[in-house]
Amino acid sequence: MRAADVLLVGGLLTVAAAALLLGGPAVTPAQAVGVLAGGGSGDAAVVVLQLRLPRLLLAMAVGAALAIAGASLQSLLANPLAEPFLLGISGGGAAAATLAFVILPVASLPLVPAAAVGGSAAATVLVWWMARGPLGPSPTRMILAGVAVNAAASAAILVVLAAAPSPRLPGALAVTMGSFAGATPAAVAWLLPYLLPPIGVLLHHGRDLGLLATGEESAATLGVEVGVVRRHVFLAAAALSGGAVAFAGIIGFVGLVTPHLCRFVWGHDLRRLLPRAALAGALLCSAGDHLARIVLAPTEIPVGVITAALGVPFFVALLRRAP
Amino acid sequence: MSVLSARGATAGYGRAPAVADVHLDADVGRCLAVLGPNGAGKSTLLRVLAGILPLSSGTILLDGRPLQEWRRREAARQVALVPQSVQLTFPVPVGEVVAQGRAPHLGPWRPAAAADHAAVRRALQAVGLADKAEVSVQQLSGGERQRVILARALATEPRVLLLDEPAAALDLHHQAELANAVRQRLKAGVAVVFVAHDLNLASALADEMLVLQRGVVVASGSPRQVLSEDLLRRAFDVEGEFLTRADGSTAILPSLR
Repeated sequence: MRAADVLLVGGLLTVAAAALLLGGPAVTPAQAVGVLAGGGSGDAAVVVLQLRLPRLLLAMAVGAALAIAGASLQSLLANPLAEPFLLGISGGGAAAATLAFVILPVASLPLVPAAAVGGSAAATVLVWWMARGPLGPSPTRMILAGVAVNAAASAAILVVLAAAPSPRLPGALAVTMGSFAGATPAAVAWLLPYLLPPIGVLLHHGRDLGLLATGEESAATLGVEVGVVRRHVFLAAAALSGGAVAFAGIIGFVGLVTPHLCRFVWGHDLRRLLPRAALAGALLCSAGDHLARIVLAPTEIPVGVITAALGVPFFVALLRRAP
Repeated sequence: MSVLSARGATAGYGRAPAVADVHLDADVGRCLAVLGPNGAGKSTLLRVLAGILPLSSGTILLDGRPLQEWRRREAARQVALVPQSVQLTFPVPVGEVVAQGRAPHLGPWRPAAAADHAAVRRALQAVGLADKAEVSVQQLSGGERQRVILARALATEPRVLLLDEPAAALDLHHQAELANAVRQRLKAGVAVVFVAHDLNLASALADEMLVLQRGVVVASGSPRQVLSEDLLRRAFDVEGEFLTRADGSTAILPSLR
């Protein structure tokens, strides 16, 4: 257990160092340390503080958000395939974000993330309502409901993009393509309120979520206020997914793959799992983004391509194993 | 002395109630068996007694206080339900599932203490799974899974134990082990309510019996008063024989022709 924790933190530090130093104009470790310590100026300071550090932090924050949301949803819904992307929660957020991006006046653009959270919350409730059969939510119905919500969200996004005035088009389009390229120090600061309180809520419900993985009725007999926990977790997952979409677009499969890898290493106790899933999601997204930057440099591939390349085979394997 | 009682309990899922106007008392150290044909409302009655299905009328009293006034977690410390099955979504080790029974005592943050680990060990031993604590629940047979769920409820160390057909998937050896575990709980003063299809197991354990038919209590009293050839005909629509064994207890032989 200890060794895995050390590897996780070591991996994060390694990726952070690589992301700050490599790719494009070279920055020496000494320059980077100097800049981070508050000194330094000129090109190195601009590259590190304005470009690479915000991008690294955004990738880590989004990865952490998607992974902890996925881990929580899988337990809450007792469904190993649950995650923000497959359930349409990210899609709902993206549809609301593109619409907000196109119709809001420039001064109100800081409201785009709030709109994305609203869209994600609406998608969550919709999927939940559709999946709920006479015997409670069925895992299969839930994935099918996610397919339906994703299809509706995609259609809505296409309509909005077709009708968008051309100056707004690039920004709206960016929401549909997962990327951390647009990271700015301000964006990272804006994202935090959408991340930290929900993560706190999910950690608080760690034990409840472990019980909910055995079914709602079973959890209720062990003292879980199922309705309350479900509302909290849905809202937290919607805030995390919507926040992630608003600042980095749709990035699939991080919420699916990361929790399962972490379950394999650290077991199924959510109090142990959730913080590690967040760190592992941060590692996966930041490493994926670094690859996206350097593999075909100077051309960038969307980071969503990297996460899909990792996630799709994993999804197929899970699907084959599911009862 | 009654720990948990139902007073005119009526509840259901749609328009028609699945149980109607049920009165019962679960007493300290006594076993109440709930009998009845499929769909009679037995499992519903247990859900109502556990406080996880709301009543449309009547009350459930825990220590004389309406169950809905209790905080969910506090009630769960007193009353444990063993459902017929639970979802085992992830390959969690047996020991961790049984340790979930301690959750009502721990709340969201408190880590398990030595007393919690001891309760889990006792529960695993009581169902004969002490050597399988590290095995994934997904690798277990149906009967072993049923024993895991029973152990989880035993680990709670509740004052009321509600069992929903706990022997349905058990072989004869483990039925005897179950009967033993229940007797030990009874001796320790736990009140047991026990839904059973196996009339012999029910009559071996029960101090009192209650028969449900279409959600209504049609008979109640001691096993001697309740079990009769007439009951088999009325409630289950089968003929049967009652044999007296050498030790004086009654064996029931339903005719399956």
